[in-house]
Amino acid sequence: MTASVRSHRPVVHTPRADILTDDSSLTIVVDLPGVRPEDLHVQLERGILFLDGTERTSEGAVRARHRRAIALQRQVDPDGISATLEHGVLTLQLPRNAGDRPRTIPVIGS
Amino acid sequence: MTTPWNELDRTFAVLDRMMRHHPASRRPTDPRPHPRVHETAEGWTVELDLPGVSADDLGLDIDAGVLHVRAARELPAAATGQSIRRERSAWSLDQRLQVPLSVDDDAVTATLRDGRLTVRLPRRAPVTRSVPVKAS
Repeated sequence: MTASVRSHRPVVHTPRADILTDDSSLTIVVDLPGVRPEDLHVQLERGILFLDGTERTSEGAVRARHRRAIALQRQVDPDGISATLEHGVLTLQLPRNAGDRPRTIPVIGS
Repeated sequence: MTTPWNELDRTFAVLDRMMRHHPASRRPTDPRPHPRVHETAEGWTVELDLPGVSADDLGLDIDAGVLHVRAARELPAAATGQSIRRERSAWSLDQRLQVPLSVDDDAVTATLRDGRLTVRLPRRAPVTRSVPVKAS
């Protein structure tokens, strides 16, 4: 039986992402069902997170692409980022830069 | 004809059209996973995207031609001092699918991998029996 019966171009999906922000970190959680860890590329460039996942058929052919660019609203430490993909859910932990965390500024009255 | 009185109407009409197509104002779609069924040479395959669901959280059984799927996904609430911009949805699924009569219930298999459930429903090999006709 030849490779693929369906010869249409693979679909590109925009996966849904939750962004959780607190004083010390950003957590980004993305639904990527059907994407294997080796088929997922995560890149941070100039404060924008790029996600590019490939969903394959059981034969290994590309079935769909899952792509998203997320502009980070806080500065993060790129060396402290962790990413895990489990049960089709990507969880990214991005620690905020110490210099970017909220700081209370005392107001001096005269 | 544009008059000072209907000029605003046209602006509102344009704005209405724009807002209708904005994702935020569309009627919220059902967040529950939708099964995808396709027929193969061997039978049928049902696929269901269940991100975040492990095999322990999933109930799947087949009985008298009905495939029954139960699964749920919850999302944790914001921790203290945490703000969430949420696009994902919590959902609970309890769905029954009518399965063709030609499916061999005993040969149904399912795998859950990377948050995707794949149920394979093989077709029973057709058995043709000749029916004896009694002359009367």
